[in-house]
Amino acid sequence: MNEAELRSAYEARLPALDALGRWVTHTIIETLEGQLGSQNAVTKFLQIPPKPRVKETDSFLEKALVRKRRSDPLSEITDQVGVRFVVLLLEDIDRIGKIVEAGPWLAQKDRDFQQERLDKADYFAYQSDHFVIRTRSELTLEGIVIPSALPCEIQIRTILQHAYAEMAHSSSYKPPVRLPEEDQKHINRSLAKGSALIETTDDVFGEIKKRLRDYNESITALLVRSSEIYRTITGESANPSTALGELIAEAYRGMLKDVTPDNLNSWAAARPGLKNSLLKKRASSVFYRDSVVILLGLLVTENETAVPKCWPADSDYLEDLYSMLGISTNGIF
Amino acid sequence: MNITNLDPLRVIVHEVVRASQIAERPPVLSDDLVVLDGKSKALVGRRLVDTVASGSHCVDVTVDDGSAGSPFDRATAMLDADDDGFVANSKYLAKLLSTVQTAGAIKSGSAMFIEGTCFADGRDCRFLAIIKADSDQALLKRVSGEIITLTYVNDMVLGDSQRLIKIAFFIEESGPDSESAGGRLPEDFSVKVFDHLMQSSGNGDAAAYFYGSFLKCKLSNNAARQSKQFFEVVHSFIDKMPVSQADRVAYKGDLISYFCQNRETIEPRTFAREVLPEAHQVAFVKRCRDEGIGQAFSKELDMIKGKLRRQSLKFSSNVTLYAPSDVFRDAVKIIGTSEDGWTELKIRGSIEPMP
Repeated sequence: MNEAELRSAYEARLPALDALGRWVTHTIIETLEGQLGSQNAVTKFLQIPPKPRVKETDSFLEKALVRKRRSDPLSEITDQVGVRFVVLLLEDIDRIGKIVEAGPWLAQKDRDFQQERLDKADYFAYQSDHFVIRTRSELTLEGIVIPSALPCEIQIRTILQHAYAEMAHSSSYKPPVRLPEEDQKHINRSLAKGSALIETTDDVFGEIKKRLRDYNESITALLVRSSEIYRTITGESANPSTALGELIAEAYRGMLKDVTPDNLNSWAAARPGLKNSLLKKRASSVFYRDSVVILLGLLVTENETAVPKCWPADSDYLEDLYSMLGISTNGIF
Repeated sequence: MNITNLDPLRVIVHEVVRASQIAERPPVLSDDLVVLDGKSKALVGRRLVDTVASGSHCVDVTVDDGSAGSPFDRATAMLDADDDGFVANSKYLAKLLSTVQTAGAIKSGSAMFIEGTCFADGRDCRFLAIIKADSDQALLKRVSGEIITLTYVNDMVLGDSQRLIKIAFFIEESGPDSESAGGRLPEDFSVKVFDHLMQSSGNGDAAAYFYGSFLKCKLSNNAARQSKQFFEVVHSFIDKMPVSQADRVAYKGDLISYFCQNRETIEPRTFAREVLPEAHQVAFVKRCRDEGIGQAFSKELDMIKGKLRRQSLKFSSNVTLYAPSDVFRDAVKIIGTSEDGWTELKIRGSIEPMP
């Protein structure tokens, strides 16, 4: 196919590429929304709104005819339309990768940066996951016929990897002017250092997220156990996740890190009088209908002089709890 | 003692005055029980817990006179008395309280007698509490539409100030002997007294009128043992604190001076606040609870006199430095330890000639 024939064939498929790009983007976002629960959550999850982009005709021709001659460029060039998903954390890349692999198309992973890291363990450069998807069969989208096996490239990267890619793109991949070789070497070295730093930072971010998640999970476990104990003691079910529970979890973060669900069991088991107190008090006070009083009770007995200092609500409630537990409020409120 | 689920059942209130006022204006002694609504009951319960439960300043006392007709006998008989007997005994005790209010700045006020149930150290118990509540002054706020008025009240009782409350708390630990026709035995009861005067130094005599002259009790026989136990708990806690040896020596010196100060009672929370660094206070109070030291105790130095008399500093080279405790604090300063195994000290005074 000569240049004119290739140009007209490519221009003929532009509407189909455009429709394919939008469909792929929409399908991934819709699945993400299902997983994360709301459109708002998706907006937060995606650091940059994904916009499908069809390759310009001249750029396609240049790639097909000049950069590397291909026998069937319309099939072989896979980034005729592409969309990029930029996320915060490395683990978020996997989430989108899985959605792509399970989508209503044929998906193939073209670049796997995790694998590339291992294959070139002492090499720091561009990192992104690239997928190429192709339509399984001919389909019609928005009245436009999409041929079978039409490709679309999906790039997934963290926002730090994106920053690196943008920098590297403008300084080495497609420089506006060619630099003297010595200068280019310095730039390449700096880029490698930047990439290594970004890889390190991405790992650190992952660690931060893990710590936060571990903490949230341990707090949730404590609130759930409180609610179970409350139900056993009073025979009344109680919602483990309440506004008061959140308030207390927030106020006593430092103390809660040393508490385990088993501590709560032992604490409640050592207090046979708790049942009567709770049954009597819950009838007239919403505070005692919240199962977080179990967790709070343990915090009070373990840290009786420190709890009032961080109490986030009306102190009358806490003073009453001290009274119920038989601990004097004298001098600490 | 861990006291929870405090539930007041029968309550009566009488007026008490200074002994010198009895003749000129006899105190009002009520014939009727007081009915408390839910919130008032909760407030009375809270005041009792605040003054006698874990972390409070109340101390154990021992009944000195438990004979028939004694205050102990009258008070404990109220538990099983019918309402008439309850009222009669309370009136007798209120009158007696007015009679012994002779010394110092004792104010008129109310004597409140409360019979109820509680959960003490895991067991259901009955209790009888006698509260001497001094009247306080306050302003009563009323909101009517857009108008707020403040009215002077000069007879408010059981406010937040513990300064205005004295309490005797008789907790029944074992039931009456069914074969005995007489009164109750002191060993069936745990008796606790709260009086703010016992916390402050130099007021021993002033405080003694309530538990001594009125109730015919004396400070607990256990006081010496409790003082020794507390001293040892603090010692071992300081030994495990993650601080330098020099700081440990300083904290132990603080412990000795705390015991030597002119105070009637010692309470773990107050001790922690006044002596230990903030970061270790919570752990210390927890340690005391775990060791069974919940409330305050009367200070009695008999069993620790030797330990208080002098403070020592022992070195790994077998050198030991002794000084009287009151001198040690100001006359011995630890400067630091060098890497070659020497410790630098500064000692006030010059070396005296050898005898």
